Amino acid sequence: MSRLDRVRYTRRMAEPVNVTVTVAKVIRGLLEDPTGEHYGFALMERTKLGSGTLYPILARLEAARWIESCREDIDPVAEKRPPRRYYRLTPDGLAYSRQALAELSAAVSLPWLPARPAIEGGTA
Amino acid sequence: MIHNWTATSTHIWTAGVAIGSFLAALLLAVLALAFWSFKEAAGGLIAKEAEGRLERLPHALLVLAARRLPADLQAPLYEEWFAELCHRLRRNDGLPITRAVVGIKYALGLLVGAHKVGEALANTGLRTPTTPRRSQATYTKWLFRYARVFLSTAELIQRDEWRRDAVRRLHKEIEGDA
Repeated sequence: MSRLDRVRYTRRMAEPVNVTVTVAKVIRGLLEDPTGEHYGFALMERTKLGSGTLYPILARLEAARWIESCREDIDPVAEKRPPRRYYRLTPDGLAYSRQALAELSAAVSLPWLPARPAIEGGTA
Repeated sequence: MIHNWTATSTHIWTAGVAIGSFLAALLLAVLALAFWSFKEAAGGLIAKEAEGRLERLPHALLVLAARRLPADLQAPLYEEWFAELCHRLRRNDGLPITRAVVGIKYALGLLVGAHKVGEALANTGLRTPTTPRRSQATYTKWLFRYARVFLSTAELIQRDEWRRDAVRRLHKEIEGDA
């Protein structure tokens, strides 16, 4: 681990995030693989969001401890590229994300229609 | 015997015209060949130059995007974005225009959204090196050094000359400065 990669990480509870529809898209992209590692470009392709929209949302989610980021553990020589940074949901973030998506879904659904079927890993 | 000078001169004239035409055609062919060779060489050089410039443009935009971040976040986030860009561009090897479009789109987005990333991550302790705080000028120097080192890395990748010693030298340069 390089000196620049060492961060002062203090464990604390996740904080609430204002979940807009765009943020929900990112959360849904992350929840497609709740325990997996997500890279920026893969999330951009999955959510159809541009880098200028996606990265600020990721930064907000990371600042609120919903997700955490780590540097990829690869041999740059063998891979012929620098290591990338990936994001994954924290346990708190997972719970918050599911709750937020469920709330958003309930808020925008019509009252006389049956609830939408839950997305795998998406809603509680 | 009466010599027909008129006929002889006509023959000479006709032969002269034929030789002259042949030489002119030969000269034209040589000139055309030279022009074509020059055009091909110049065209190749211009295309190569344009490709090189296009290749560097996304990286230059990334540097500009990083400059919009708080000083201590510039180098770590530039590194992250650069690595992502390299990975994405490798999927389009041999397609310079596609590479440029993908890279420029990615970098322009970050140029627009960089300040929001900076606002979100500022004072969180995330991505901040544990080294003592430095002056703004030092951080800016870091960023430019990072950019230079990573551009060299990108060129090594592009030329498929990614060698262990070159990587070690580049990393040593970063570590030495950090």
